Amino acid sequence: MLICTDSFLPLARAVARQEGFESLAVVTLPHPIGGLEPQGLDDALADAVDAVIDALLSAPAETVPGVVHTAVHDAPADVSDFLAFAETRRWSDGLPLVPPSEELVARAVAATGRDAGELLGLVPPSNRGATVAAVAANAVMAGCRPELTPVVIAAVEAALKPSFNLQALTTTTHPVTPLVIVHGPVVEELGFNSGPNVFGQGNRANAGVGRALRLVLQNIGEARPGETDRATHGTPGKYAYCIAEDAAASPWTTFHEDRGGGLRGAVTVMGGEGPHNINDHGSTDAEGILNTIAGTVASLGSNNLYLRGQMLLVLGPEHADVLARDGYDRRRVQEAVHAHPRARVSVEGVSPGNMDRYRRTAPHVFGNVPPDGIVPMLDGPESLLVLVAGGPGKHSMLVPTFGTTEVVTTDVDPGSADG
Amino acid sequence: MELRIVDPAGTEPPTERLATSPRPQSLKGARIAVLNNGKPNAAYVVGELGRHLAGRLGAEQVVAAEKPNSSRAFAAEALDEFRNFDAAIVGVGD
Repeated sequence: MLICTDSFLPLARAVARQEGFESLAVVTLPHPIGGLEPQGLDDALADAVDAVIDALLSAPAETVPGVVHTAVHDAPADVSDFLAFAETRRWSDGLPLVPPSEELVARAVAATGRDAGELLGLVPPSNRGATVAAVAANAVMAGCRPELTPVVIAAVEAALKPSFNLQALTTTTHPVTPLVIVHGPVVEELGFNSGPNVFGQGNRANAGVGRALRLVLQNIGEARPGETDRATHGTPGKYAYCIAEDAAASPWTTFHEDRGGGLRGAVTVMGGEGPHNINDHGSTDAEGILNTIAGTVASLGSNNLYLRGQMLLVLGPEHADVLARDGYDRRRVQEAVHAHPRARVSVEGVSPGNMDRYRRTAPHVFGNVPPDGIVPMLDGPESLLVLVAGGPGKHSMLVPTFGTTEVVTTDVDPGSADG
Repeated sequence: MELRIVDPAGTEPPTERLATSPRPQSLKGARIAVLNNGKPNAAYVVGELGRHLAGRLGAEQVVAAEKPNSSRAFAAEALDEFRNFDAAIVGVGD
């Protein structure tokens, strides 16, 4: 049997279904159980014992009726009526959607050069199947032009790689969502924004691809806010979170080359928080800028402190130029930030309850550290990914991650001339 | 007027269901596993429930396992240890 707090019941049900055990008994306790002295739970636990006994002795149902979905529907042609229709099916992220008509979806599928029925994988936590047609339907709904569909397909394929840990990313309380980084020739070819306001609004390719991936997670994966998507606050990136590399502004080998991306281009997905600003208007040399970057990397409230993993540094072109002028390439930037005294935290600032957790989640960092010790935020130089994007100005951005996730890069298919 | 649209929800999940072993008739003398998912107080919650069961029903002392990182699945070898147990309690979420 499963036990969870009442708040997490929808997720427990989804996990049971996902494991092929839909009728598995679930017993709930009042939320929360964390953040309390353990003895404060004693009454609730005593009250739950009878239900636990019943659950352990109960026979699971032989079969559970499923809901059958059809591949196509007749939907209202009127836009307002269609939006209401979509909302009742829970296909909405809250913003208006383009109706995925058979004609528009056929054009999107044609642009991929793939079969409509090809299965890209199962999307957690529902484990429903992401076919090319279903992904294309979400791309249409998100407002993607047909030629963007191969980029959406690549992003979905990348997000479904086991090392990305999509199951945890879509169900956690942490404010994480896949950041899609587009790099290589496809950036210019399809008009992605890699310049001013790169994380912001105003570009149909960035907005469409980022939103399409989110709709896939919600509509196919059934990651539903407050139910299976357990995010405490979420993040604005859950509407759309897609940037592109500015290869021309990169003073070093490009991120695309560094990631070994293909001829047409590639996408890299990262389980990221929202971007954190690195404001440095005053420094005129690399030492000053690296000091500010390192100070932004260090954060007691970051998952990367105790789950480790990777972070992304998006250098504004002006910061990148100063670093390059002073002799830094990507590797030297990574090494300098990793080793920087400001990219560390004192464990004196970590509460005893958190230290107890951190020793178990990251024993290689916290296992033997003395009470007045200092620990690095990054396990190594390569834990910091570095690319150049953004417009004029003295800002860079840091994207911390969920921690228990690895970035994944997937090539964008050549696609089809028919698209 | 109606419009023919393509369903954006994908295909049905795999329908394979786990075969379940027979439920125990009682928990008297049963061997019970309690699996702590690594969240704060999870060890206390499942441990206390196990102790209640042992005390009230004569279940054998429970055997506990934990996963150090709540964002990863239990290691297969950790679960193998409980292969022939009569019952298990697993925590989900916070």
